Amino acid sequence: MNRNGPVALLCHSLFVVFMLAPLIVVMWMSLTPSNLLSLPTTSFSLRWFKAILANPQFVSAFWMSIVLGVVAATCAMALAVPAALALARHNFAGREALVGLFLSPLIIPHVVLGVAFLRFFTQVNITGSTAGLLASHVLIIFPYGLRLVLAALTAADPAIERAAISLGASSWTVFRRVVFPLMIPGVAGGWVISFIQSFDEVTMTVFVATPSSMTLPVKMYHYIEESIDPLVASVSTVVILLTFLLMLLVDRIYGLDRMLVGKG
Amino acid sequence: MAKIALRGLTKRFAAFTALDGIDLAIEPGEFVGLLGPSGCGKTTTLNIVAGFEEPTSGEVMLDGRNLRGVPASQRGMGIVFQSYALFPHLTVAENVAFGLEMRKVAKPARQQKVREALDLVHLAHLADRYPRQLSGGQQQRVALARALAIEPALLLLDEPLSNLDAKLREEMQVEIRAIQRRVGTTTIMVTHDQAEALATCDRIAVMDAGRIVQLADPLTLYDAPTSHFAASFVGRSSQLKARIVSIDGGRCTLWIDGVDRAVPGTMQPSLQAGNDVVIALRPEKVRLVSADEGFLAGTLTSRVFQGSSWLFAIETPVGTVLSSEPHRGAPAFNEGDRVGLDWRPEDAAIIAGKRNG
Amino acid sequence: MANASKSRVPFWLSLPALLFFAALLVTPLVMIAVLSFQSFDLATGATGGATLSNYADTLGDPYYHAIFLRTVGIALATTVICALIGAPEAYFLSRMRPPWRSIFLIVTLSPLLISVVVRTLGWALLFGRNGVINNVVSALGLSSGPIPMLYTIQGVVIALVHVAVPFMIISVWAALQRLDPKVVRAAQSLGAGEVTIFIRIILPQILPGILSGSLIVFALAASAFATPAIIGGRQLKVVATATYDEFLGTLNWPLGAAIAIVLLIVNATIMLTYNRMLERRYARFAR
Repeated sequence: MNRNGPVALLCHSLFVVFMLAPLIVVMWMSLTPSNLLSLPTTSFSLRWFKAILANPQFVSAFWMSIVLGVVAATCAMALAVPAALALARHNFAGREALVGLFLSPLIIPHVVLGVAFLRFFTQVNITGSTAGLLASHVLIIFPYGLRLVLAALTAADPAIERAAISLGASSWTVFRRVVFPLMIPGVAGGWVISFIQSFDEVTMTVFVATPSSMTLPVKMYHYIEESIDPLVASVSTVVILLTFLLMLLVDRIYGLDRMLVGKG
Repeated sequence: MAKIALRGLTKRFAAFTALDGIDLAIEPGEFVGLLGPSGCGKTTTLNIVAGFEEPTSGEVMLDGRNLRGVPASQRGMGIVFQSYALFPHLTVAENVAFGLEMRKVAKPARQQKVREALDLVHLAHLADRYPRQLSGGQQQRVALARALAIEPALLLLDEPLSNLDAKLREEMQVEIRAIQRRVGTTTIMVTHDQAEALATCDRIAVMDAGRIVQLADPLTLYDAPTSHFAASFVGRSSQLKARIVSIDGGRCTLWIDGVDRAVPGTMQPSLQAGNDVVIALRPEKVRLVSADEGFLAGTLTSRVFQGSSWLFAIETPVGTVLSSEPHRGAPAFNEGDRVGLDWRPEDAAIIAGKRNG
Repeated sequence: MANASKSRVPFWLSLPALLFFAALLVTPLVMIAVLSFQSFDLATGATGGATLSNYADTLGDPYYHAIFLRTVGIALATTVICALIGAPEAYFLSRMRPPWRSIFLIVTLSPLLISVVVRTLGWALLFGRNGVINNVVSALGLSSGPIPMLYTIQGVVIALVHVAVPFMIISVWAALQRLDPKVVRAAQSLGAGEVTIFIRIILPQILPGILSGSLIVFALAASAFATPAIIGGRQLKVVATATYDEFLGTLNWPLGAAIAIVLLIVNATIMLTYNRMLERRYARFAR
């Protein structure tokens, strides 16, 4: 296709600035040596990163979010992989309805899910429990994992399985030697995106998290509600850097652009 | 005994008959093509032989053994898929070794056989590459080596060359034929490309609407098509409506409607005097002569240079007739000239039946 | 391989996920729907009985009218701005050469993966009275006093555009991928200029992408929580923050449930009708 003209490149540059500005400001602010919210220009300091370690609430919320993300992503993939196999490789009555159900957490407002979980956990008496938090996270991240595994399965040439069968492989061997290796990138990519979704989630979690089961985004949200200071900027910087590392990981195992635009 | 025999193979879906009584017996070592347009049932036939689909009725007999109920994984067919279907996560050598592994061939023997199969397709030097690192032609050879490594009872080729460019396709036609001759494996090839079928097959089954309309060796199929469909699908031909007026031994006299002209033809055993027929003329069999000679006269409307040959279109009172001649300098006739058309009686194929031109 | 099998394999494979969804999605949604029809005693906080008063309050009270109108207004403004900047940006991205295309696709889309709280904090830092933007503006002498951005509707809309515009780009990008690149050359060969090509050739073909992207952006903006809560503050309530206040502030759960159900129904209705409309209008583009 054609190249972009100067006007297009100018618009594009402004857009990139718009997308990156808030992130850059947060990271820049976190390096301030002062107690005030002013961008440092002459001297930089890591004192606000050290301050995180002195704040047990942020530290425990951070670990809570990490553990929650790891366990929730693992549980979600354990449910999503068999479901994806059923949906991708079989045509059965109700298949479309099942796909709709499994993807519905994507279109139900998270506020609604939040109040629904809060009510549900109160009724069954597990308010504030980590189990409830975990279950709610598994539900909302499930569609992300499912989509990537489904994409990996449907992208594979169906003739490949037939080739393995014609060469004498049993169904189990076909799965173990051919289908499973082919879906590994989808499963791994799905796990990482699920982890990120769990790690980022705030709108639903704000309803079900309690001081004893506090995730990092919710803790940050409550903190910002009270006041904004360089400490929360340094915590945010840690989150940005961690997300960036995970993006590199996704890029290696699945292709970040492929995952973002939902292709393949 | 036939290596493989299809008996009354029929496949029906809800409101659609994909196969309508296919009978075909293939001798050991034979290379048979299933030729036809998409939807003619050729791929369904192949899938049934491979065991991927069950026929509604009819049998597949391999070495006299009925294959009904035998799963695809136990049939021992070597299949080359249209998309090659190489395992993307395995190297070339691992791809070729897969079938041997399934047969629990011990490692030393396996390596030996992989080596032989790759030598056969001249790819031994690429054994450690992954499929995506290979060109289309190379992937095709790997697929062939993988199918042959298991020493299959039958080699099934599903449009094996359709993803290659024209020049490579011609080279591979020759190569596949040579490899098949060397290993001697009985082969069925599905193709929609008549040139490919003519170039590689011992016999060709022309299929249309779930039936085999003609089963013949390439030469017979080309020179003596027995149906309008075979005549138009294989090669190019001009078709003239005619009627048999008299029969004299192997020869007959035909009356071409519209020009009130009697022409000689070669008789088909199934025909009788009075039958409506179609005369199918291959372009290279039709010679241009001066307007007062030959069986038909017309106006030369186009003259196209095709490199090795010239193609002429002649407008006659009974339709357009094509003629071609090898290129040996500028032809004697120009566009707009009145010309005569001549052919040898034995070169005019007489086809019975439908007169829908 | 989608084989029409009558086997029970797909059933057993999807059963765990199905049970999980029945327990964790269907049950809570039914419970919240039931709760929305229960009465609430302000004095004791007890709930019970069957009543429509929560819906009467939600739909009849001018206070909630203002909240719903504000939410819809913010969502509409966000959607329009996302379409206006997202669609051209996707087009520019699609015309870039291979290495740059992937790089900028990732740069523009990856903020999606960073927590909304973090991104909103960034806007709060930019928007404040002594924030980065006001400091730059006053340093350049462009304005006499600080420009109000934090705790304003426009501030909320800008931050929401930042959150939602990647979805518009993804949607338009998908439509652009289906476009035959040769149509641009065809238009050029027929004498069309850059702008004409975009408006007459590209735009009509990516319109379905823009419209389905608008749907996602609208749904996202209408139910956003953290961004309006932080940038909008306590005064600029939207549906999501009002629901939060009913549940965790005044503890009137049945009323909060009714607001949530109305949000769910409005969202679902808009999505379904819009989708139906799109399908009918653009069925001819389907291949």
